[in-house]
Amino acid sequence: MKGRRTRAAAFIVLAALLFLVLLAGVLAGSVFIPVADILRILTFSPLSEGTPAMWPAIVLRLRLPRVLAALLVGSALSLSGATMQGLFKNPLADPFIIGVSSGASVGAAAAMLLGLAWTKAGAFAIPLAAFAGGLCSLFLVYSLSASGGRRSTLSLLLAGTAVSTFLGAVVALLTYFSGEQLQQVVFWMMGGFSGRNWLHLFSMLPWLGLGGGIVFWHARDLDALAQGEEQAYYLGVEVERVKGRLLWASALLAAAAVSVSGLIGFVGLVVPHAMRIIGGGAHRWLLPASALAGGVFVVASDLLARVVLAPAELPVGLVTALVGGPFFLYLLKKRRVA
Amino acid sequence: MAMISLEKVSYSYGDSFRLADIDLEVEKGTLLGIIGSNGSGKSTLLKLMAGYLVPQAGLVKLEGRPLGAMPRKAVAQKLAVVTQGAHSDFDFTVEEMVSLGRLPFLSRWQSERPGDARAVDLALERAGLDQFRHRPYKGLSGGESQRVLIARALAQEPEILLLDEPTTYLDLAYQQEIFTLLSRLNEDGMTVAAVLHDVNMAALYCKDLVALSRGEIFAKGSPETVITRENIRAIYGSTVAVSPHPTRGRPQVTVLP
Repeated sequence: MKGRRTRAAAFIVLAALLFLVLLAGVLAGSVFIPVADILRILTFSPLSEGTPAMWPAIVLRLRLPRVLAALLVGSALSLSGATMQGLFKNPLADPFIIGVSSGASVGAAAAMLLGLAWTKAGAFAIPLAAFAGGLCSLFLVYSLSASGGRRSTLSLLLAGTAVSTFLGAVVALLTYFSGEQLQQVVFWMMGGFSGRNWLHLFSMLPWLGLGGGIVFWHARDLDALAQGEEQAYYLGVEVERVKGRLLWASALLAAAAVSVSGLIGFVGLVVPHAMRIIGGGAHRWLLPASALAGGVFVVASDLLARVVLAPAELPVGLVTALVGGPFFLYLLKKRRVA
Repeated sequence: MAMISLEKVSYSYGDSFRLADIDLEVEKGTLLGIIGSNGSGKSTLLKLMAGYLVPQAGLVKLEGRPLGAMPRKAVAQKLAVVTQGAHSDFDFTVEEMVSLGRLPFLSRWQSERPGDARAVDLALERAGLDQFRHRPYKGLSGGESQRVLIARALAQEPEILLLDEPTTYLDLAYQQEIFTLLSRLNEDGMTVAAVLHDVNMAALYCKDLVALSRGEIFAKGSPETVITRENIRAIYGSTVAVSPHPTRGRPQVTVLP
């Protein structure tokens, strides 16, 4: 039974897994640094004689921010997915269902085509453009789907699909004309964390805090909304207002995550789904569990992406889809049997 | 005193259906049955009474206050609604489903207080769901899940309970069980109004009946005044005989083939 004990045990296992993958993530790389030294560097303890001067920089400036960025992106995408699923009363919804990903892609591709990537501010121009693009697409969907003060989930989904498809075509067009930047555009759309630094991390933090806070604040309302809008209404939820807030909050989470990592699919779909199977659908369990498990999943995927073809790197979005896809099918199959 | 009053309420879906100029008072303490043929506007009437649909003309009041102007939480603390066949694709236990009935009483971040747990326990007990507490809601039978929705409404500790065809698709034993529960709640002081499919059950258990026909109130009053051969023919178009119930004396309809 999905009692308190199962949930508590799941949290403990997830926390342990998170610690392990974070450590492994900092450990992996072309320069081998022993675990003991890594722990010493991370706790700012005095280093032993003869420790190479580069090691603290490698750990603190390169590996740690990268691993933490993967953690935050995974958490944000999973939270966003869990929210969208509750909101649309549909376990197949994902963070990108209302066009955030295609909007972000247009923003990122446009910034690359303008050559901003090669300027000094380039490292931030692309995330900023992606973030703005993602939110613009939601704004578009949000205004297109309104009628008479209400936005039905169906009209939101339809507007989301239409806007997604249209912006997808714009991305294809931009890619077609991208010339020298082609590889860069394509890579961005497969997601990854190489070269991400502390500034990237800090730039997404406030949005994740805001979006995550709003989502957690509405955990009970999400339980009610997952029963359907009419049911939620009878349980005292101001449906339209809450729906609007949750839509913006989950878009904020997804856009901020994607702006740093590029497109990483499947996380927002698979992780909440797996957590529902383990501990049920109540959002006061589902939201924190998804945030934790999403972090584990993306940090582990990034680790895999770096290790499999080392010294070459796979795009993380490929790994999450290659691992997540079959896993998702396995869950579906297993569930039908159970 | 009227718990809910509808004053000259009209509502239409496009050109095809119109509920016109409805005047209706749901008295405090009544057990009201709303009957009528398919498409006569029963469910629409219930959704208007619950505030989910906003009348295009006229006014719906809850204890004298315009329903549309009240905050949702304040409404949900007084009025609970059991809809038809509400299903969810997500896994909630019976206890979690019923606990949702406490949502209107809790502010955000606030965790459940002892009083909330008591209300949930009592609701589970009244609906006969003690054994089901930790079972997944999704795996329940039609009758069981209907009882969960009723228990969730009871956890709201409402003054008035609205139900949309609570016994449709249920076998005889479950129907009887649910009507017995509604009667008992009513005896304890809860005002109950239910859209009902089964004329005989409605006549047997309800204190008052409202019969809708083509979007208008055709008859209202005690079961004896509403359930007559002529009214049934006018509302449903069926030829029937009406005779008193063997033990309760309430009018019962027998179809004449």
